[in-house]
Amino acid sequence: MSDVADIIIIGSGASGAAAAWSLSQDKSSRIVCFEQGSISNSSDYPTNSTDWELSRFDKSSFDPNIRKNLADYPIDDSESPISIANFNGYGGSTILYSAHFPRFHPSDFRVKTLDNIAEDWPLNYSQLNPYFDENEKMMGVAGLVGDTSYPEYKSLLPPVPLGDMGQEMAKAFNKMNWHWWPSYAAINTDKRKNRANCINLGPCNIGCSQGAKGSVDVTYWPLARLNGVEVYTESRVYEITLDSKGLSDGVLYIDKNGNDCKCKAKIVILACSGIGTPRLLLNSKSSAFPNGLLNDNGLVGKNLMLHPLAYVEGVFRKDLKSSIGPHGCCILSQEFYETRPEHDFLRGYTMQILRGVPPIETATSGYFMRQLSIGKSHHKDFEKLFNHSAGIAIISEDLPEEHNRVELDFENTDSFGMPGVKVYYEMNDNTKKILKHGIKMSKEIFSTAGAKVTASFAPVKNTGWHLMGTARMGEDPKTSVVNKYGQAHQVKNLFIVDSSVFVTSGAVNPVATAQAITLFACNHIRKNISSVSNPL
Amino acid sequence: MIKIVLDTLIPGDIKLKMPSASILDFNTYKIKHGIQQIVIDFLFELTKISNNQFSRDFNELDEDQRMKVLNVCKLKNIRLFSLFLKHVFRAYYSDKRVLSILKVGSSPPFPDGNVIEEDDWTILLPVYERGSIYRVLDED
Repeated sequence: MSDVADIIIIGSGASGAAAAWSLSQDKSSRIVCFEQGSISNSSDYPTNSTDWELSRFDKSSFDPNIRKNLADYPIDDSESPISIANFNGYGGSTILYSAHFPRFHPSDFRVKTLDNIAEDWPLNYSQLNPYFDENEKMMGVAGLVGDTSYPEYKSLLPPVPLGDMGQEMAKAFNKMNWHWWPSYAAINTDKRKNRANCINLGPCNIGCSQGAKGSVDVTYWPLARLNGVEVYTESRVYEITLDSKGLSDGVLYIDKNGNDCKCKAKIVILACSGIGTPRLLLNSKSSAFPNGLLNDNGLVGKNLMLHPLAYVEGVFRKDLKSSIGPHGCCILSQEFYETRPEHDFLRGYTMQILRGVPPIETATSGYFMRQLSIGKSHHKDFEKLFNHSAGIAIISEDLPEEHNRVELDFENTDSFGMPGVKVYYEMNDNTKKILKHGIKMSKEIFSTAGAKVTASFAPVKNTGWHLMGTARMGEDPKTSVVNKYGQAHQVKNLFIVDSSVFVTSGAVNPVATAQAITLFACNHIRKNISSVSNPL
Repeated sequence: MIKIVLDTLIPGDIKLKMPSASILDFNTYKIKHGIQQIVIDFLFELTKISNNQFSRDFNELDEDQRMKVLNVCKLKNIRLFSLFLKHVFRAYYSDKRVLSILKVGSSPPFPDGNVIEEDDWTILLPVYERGSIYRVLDED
């Protein structure tokens, strides 16, 4: 079976969806997207049921090795202190993300120039700025303009409410004279674009049955499909093929009926995440690229960055109804984001204030952190914890190092026999110092807020959502895989638009920046469609 | 025996109006989540310990003795104990009757959701007055 398209997009997640919408503004092209997972139906999301919290332990787990959907591939992360988290399906990991949506900072693109570490990016904040704006409009991002830790934002939806706990934490930050700001959240705080507004339920990260959370299945995709983009779900691409001139001529994939198929195209766009993208490239071997596509410099899969996280939990005396409201989005502080001479580390971190955890997690973590007993005192202990707690997640800048990498795992294959992934990752000393500092400062802020610290640790195991750096961009083909437009140095009609291309990690959630880069790249493709399609 | 085990782990609290975990339909939970073997192993372990320590079955012990047996079990086989306890917490704190007593906010199906009061953003004045804190680059 064979088919012909103009543009193929592999992956329907955050970047694939943004690419589809952007490119589909030129309606003369036939654009086809292949997605290995299926479409989630919001009426089936666990939040429609009272026992929703149980779903985190099986079908809505963000660990593919627990979830084990047909679309999931094995990820062996036993050689990493951080487990990989993702979702393979229409909308990608945005289905399960918490919708935190801060941008990278201007300094994030210039770490070599400013701090003499890692590499500068081949583009800068100013170049991305219009695409940040455009993306925030498309995704529906709530927040407040005027943040002193960023250049000016143009406009945002009304911020997600702080709630009583957020107010207490804000007062504490003010007492310390530290920066804080309401979270940037891809959450509809007003009814918008035929989507309902957020009703402050809490568990955004098992799928939002309201459709208030800006996952791309409800933001970019409806518009891209109206523009004619075709999406083939449950269709697993296992190889990107090349023609005799060394250009990509399409992909090989298994369709939903198990048929082995080929789809030809003039342009191929990869958007499979910092793990899925190198997996597919490494699996696409040919005489021109015997070690995997674009891997002649050995960089595909290398420089994996995961944003190691520290976590500190505080418990207040008062009932602050802290479990009410979008769990991940309340306040962020970027007081310690930038390099400071008095620190023993370079770069920095974001402190993300998280709302209180739901009942099962309160009981379980409370017991294992020795804050809650079994037997007679159980309920009294529970009452002191539930709705009284808050968390601080410290997101550290992660620096690129070649030994942190993903490789194909031929011993563990997916349901179609394609190799899984083996992750090798170690935290470096700079990151460890950042996390240590973040824990210390979080304890200070909780103490100022009058909360008792009940837990603090780093790194947090199950937090490997932010998958970056494994096919990085740069000007020099010897030290990078793609250029600033995501265009492969070695195969000019092949583009990578997900966070694989990140040169450094920043210290914020990457999705806003990944999508801005996607829009920047796709704008370039649209403007240069004929030369990009026929680069020789 | 399972009812007594559940009641020992999470007894009722009249003052707080919280029911005992023995109200749970743990049998259905056990089958739904495929933990039959864990339950069998855990009950077997408790029976063994209670007979060793008190020469009686777990059912026949008073509350203090049952707690002692549970603590010995925890020390002897922390993995099994933790696994079983996690499932008891999961079953108990996902039960509709329990959630309706806790202040968990709106529960599905959701007519209205939860209302959070509007914020007074003058609270941000100190942050704003401090001025910008990001690094300005020449190129920007």
